[in-house]
Amino acid sequence: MLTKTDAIVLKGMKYRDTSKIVTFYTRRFGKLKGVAKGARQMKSKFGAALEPMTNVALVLYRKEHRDLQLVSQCDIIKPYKKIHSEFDRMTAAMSVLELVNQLTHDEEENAALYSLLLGTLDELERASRRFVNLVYAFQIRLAGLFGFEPSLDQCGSCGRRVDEFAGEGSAVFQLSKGAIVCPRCAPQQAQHAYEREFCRAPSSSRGRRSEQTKSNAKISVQTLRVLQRLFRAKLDSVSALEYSKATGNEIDATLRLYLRQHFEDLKPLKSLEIHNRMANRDSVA
Amino acid sequence: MIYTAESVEQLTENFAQLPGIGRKTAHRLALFVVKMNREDVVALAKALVSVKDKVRYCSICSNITESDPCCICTNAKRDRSVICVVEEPTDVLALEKTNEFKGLYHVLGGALSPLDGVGPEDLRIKELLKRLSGAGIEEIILALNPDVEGEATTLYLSKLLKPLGMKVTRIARGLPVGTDLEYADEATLSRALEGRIAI
Ligand SMILES: [Zn+2]
Ligand SMILES: [Zn+2]
Repeated sequence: MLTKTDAIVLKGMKYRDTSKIVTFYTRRFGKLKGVAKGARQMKSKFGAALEPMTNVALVLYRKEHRDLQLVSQCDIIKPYKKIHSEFDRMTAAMSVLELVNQLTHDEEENAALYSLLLGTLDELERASRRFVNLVYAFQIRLAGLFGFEPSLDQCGSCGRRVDEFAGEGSAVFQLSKGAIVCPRCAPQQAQHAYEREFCRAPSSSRGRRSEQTKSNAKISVQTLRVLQRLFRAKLDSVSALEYSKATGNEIDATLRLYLRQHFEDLKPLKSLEIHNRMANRDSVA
Repeated sequence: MIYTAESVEQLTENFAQLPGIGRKTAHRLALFVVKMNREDVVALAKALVSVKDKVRYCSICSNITESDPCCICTNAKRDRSVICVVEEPTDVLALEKTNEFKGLYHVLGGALSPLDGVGPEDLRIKELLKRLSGAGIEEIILALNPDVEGEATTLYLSKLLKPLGMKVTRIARGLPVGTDLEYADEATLSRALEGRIAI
């Protein structure tokens, strides 16, 4: 059946002599793969519409329960010119696509994720600096869309707000709950966790304890505040957020641990690693 | 396919591993081999083994070759001050057909494609940098495919190469985006080489 949907091109793969298999993230059907016949020929009707990081209007011959759909037509809605011609924007955008590609399954519709993806690419095209902020904002919002919304505003134990414990040192981020524990409550919480371990399963306590320590991360109040903004602020204001390099490293590490905690199969994001490596290089030079 | 002989089945499996060959075509090819002269089949088998045994990657430019270094790297008439960087050996072939380029090549073995797990460390970039540390190289031409992966690689390499103080150019983007360099006709490729610009 001939079906229309908007989509973002995630990636392409050569297929046969002149065709391509393209992975799309679509508004109506989630992720799906389609064959574009003749797409690699010089005079292909698809032109640049099948290049990753392009927003397109897609027409498919779609059959249910088929792994591979047939692309009938694909027209560019937004080409994202700057994303395609500047390395830092490009690698930031790639890391967003890489995350979506890893975490979604074929034909699981998620219109909210589609909107988030589209909005993030729009901002990566528009913003003038700190593209990585948009990547982090995307990561934390995506976790929220998948049901792992972190609660970053107050201590999960005593309820004090972040401003109230700002002068007391580092807090603890409980990765599995997505909750914050303030510096005052943290030692008690650790003690509880320790006792739970030993009372319940003394024989296997070693393995379980190492898991326990991994599921908590120390987090500075500064990082917490930036994370709150990355999560809640309007996307178009996110790239204006300024913070120190140390905070940046902590944000990166915290989000990596948080995503890994909730998405077991998640592999390290290669594009983000390249992005950060090259960005650091520039700041040194 | 229980009706065919086991050896035909096996050959079909083998053909089906080749790029662009589905099971149907593989089966047709296997049946064609059944009909071929014995000598021709032996010649084909020998050619396959001989390619595997003799062909290797040039230790300088990574192009495929039977003699190491390859005939381009050892050719005294080639201009040693220019290196043209391409993705695959097929691209060297395509550019050689233009008769336009007299310098040396460097084959990366692919392009940056993080979503497919291909990062800078999976390409022969270290080897390129090593070549450049030797004296006499004045210009690097980046001739990568006109698609996102080629563009990512071009931008990445220009970031690495520019601080080294040599001229870095890229071939003109007259080629339609989304297509393969190896399918370009000679005229188009010639023009693209002529129209390269500094980046
Ligand atoms: Zn507390
Ligand atoms: Zn060579």
